[in-house]
Amino acid sequence: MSSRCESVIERLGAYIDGELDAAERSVIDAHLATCEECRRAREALTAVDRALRRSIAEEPIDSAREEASLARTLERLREEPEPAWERPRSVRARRARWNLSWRWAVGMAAATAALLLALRIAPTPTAPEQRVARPIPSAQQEPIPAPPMDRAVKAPETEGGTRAEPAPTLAQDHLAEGAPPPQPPAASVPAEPAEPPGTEPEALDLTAETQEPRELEVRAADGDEASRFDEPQEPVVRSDEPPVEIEAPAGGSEWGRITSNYKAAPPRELDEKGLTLGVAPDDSDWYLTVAPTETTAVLSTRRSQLEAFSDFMERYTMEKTPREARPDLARSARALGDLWESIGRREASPSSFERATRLYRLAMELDRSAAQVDSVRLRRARAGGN
Amino acid sequence: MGEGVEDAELIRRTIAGDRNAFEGLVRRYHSDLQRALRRITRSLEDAEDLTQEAFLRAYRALDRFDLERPFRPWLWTIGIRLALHAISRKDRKHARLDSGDPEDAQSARHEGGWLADRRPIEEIEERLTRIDLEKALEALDPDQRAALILRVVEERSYDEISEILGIPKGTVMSRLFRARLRLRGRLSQDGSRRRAGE
Repeated sequence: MSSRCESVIERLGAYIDGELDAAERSVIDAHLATCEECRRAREALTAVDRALRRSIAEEPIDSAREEASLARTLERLREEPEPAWERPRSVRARRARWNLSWRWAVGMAAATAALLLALRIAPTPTAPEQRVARPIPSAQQEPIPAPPMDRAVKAPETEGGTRAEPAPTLAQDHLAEGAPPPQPPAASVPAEPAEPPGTEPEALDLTAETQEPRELEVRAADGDEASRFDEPQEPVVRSDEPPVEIEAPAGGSEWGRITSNYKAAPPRELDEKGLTLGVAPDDSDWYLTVAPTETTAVLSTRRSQLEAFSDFMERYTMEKTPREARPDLARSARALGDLWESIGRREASPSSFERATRLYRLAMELDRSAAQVDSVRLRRARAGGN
Repeated sequence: MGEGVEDAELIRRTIAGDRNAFEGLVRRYHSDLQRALRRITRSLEDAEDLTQEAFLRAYRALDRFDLERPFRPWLWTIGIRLALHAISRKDRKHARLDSGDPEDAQSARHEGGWLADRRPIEEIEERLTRIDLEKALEALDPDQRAALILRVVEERSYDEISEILGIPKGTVMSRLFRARLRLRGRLSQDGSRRRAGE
């Protein structure tokens, strides 16, 4: 099979679903006209749909049981206390928007904090308090994937002009409570910020939502300085100044050195969401920039350091990160996978390839299992909605 | 009740205090949602519980629903996410990094070797029974199954599936691609076995 065929086959699903734009479609049409194998692949995919539809049509329906089930739902509903629907919708929507972006920001800050904590990097090592928002696992439940949506953000128009249908705006808050048991209505509505929009939440109190990270006071045992990570950081990569090296904190950090100011090749943009991977001109150092704070950490390619960071990613991220942070962590895992792959290529080391594979899998797992936030849409929401 | 009345109107009435209005919505969508959830969870009992829970959650959050948008996909989003969450909780013990197959097209392409199957499609297809399909669906990851059901049975667009499942559109595309490949691979095997058994 040619690489051309491979790329066509990967798009055949979207092709038969009518989800390709005209240009892509004509490319595939042209290829199909000349390639029997790909035509067969198209027929095979179409046959899958046909078989599935036929199977669904043949499903036995137990009407009596459906009726009984409906009756139970109605009965349960009648027992449900009247929900607290007291607020005018407009106020509610506005607050929800703010709440949403606030929670998103907290999630991102927590993710960055978690990463940096693991790295023991202090990007602004000046704050006297030693408080960082560090995610800790929820006691009993996993968050249900529930990407925040905002009704101010209209779904994109599809080709046929149909508007994409909605996503619950606030029901996610309910979803995010986890599975049953149901809570009384007062508790079922997540606490909205007590302070009006624009007020910086002083302490990141997320305890109102059981699945959210709770703030944890972290006091480093060895007395190194911790930082607040909730302030966006300016990117610190400047090529016109000499690098300033900050020694890793005492206490046995694996990280030999952390450089906050680094002469590097222009960072390679890994994706549109802000994670960048920079490579030193002599290929000896790497740095990762994690959105949204753009705090830059320089990672030496010393294997033990990469091991430590990779260990962190593998051990820590699955269970202990807020759902909003997972897409970022997935990208970090992929970036680390890239690093390991690169080492493997240079040294032909099987263990590096294994490591890279594990990290890629982790990235996929994070992508798949976790709540996903479409950061781009959220940014748009924040820009346009507030 | 509620026959012929727009969903949005029923929601308005519910919020205004008419609880019977919400019952109209429940009656309208209960069976459909339950069937969709059964196809995704592969369990009628689970689907029944999840359907009830989805309606309860929708009810509690009803004043937050945007009346300008259709109700059904909103309800489906709640139900399907509950279902996927329930499945993942069940599977959590078994699933983990090393057990999941890499979700790349490369591995999917090798799955089932269906491209190498040169028999006419119809020949395979006509030997398949609904049971074959059920088994093949069972073999899919729940996420893939949900995407496939939404696309093929519910006929949702990629944008809509993206919203409902909370994943980027590109992921919808690749997930559907893999789901179809895998399903096709399984069906091809089943078709072959059936023929061999004749």
